Amino acid sequence: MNELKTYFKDVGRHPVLKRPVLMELFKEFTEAENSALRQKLKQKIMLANLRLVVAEAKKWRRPHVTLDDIIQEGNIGLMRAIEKFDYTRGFAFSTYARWWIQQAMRRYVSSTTRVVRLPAHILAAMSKAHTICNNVSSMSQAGPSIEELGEKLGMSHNLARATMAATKGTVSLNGDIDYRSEGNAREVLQDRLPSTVPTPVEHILDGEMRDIIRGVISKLSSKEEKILRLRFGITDDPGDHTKHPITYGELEALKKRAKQENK
Amino acid sequence: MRKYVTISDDDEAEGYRSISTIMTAEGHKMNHSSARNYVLRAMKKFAYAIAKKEGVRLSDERAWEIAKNPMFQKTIGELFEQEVLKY
Repeated sequence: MNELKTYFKDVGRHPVLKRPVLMELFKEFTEAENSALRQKLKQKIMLANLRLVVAEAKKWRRPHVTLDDIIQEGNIGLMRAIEKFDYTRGFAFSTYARWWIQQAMRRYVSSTTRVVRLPAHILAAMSKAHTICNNVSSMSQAGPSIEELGEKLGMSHNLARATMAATKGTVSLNGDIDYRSEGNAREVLQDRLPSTVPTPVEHILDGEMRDIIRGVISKLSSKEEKILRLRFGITDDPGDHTKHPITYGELEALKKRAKQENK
Repeated sequence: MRKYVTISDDDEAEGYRSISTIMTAEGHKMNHSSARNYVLRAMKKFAYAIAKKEGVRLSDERAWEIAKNPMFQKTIGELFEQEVLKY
């Protein structure tokens, strides 16, 4: 925080230049051929406009980004604005620079907000979609369909669907669930998600299915079972079919024979 | 366990041809379409048994439709493998 205070003090030391003076600097900057001179002029313009970046940065404060990071990004935007500004058009530099500063800050904020980074064009489409949804919702209860949204955004239905899906945020699986009514037990989101371990009911259903399969297999002829084995590749070597594992029917016959022999 | 015979559409015909060749060599003379019929008839039996358990009466046409479904065949194949390999 002290560093930020020092920075603000530093920025305050550099006076804001009047428009004619600034335009004169830009004229020199554009016409200068010596790179050292260009660098010097650029620095001068930069220092005179640092306050603009600080003022913009205050508007872009977010919980997850620090002010000094936003200022840093804004300064990069300012540098780009200085390089691209055309003083002959007669507009104020601050009007032009503000867009570049905002663009740099917006890009930084949006790239750090999400766990999964999204391309800038998708973020822009999301913003448009949000506006469209708000406008439509204010007129009717139901929002626009994906098809309508795609037409308004000028994109395919699939991309519109993906854009809408991207508007959903991410949550931590270890995040606490607010559990007011059930004591102090700490329950995380992961606990509420369906488990890959089968429940007792699933286990019974799975068992029933196995019984059905077993029942059908026991009724299959030896020939049918052998064909199914070959079909599903249940063999060590398809070239040597004499080594196929014995069929269920053959096993039953073997068991019967063994029983008879024991008697 | 290595799988040599697949149930994907691409090499389906080849699979049935291999089966018919092996079965013919074992003394059960058959061609590839007979091999396919054997497999589909077995699938149909599985379909009937599952439907019966669920309390659904299947028409012959519907049973064939289910038997021919690649997803159904794949599922039955996996269950069949698990059951058969127990022994």
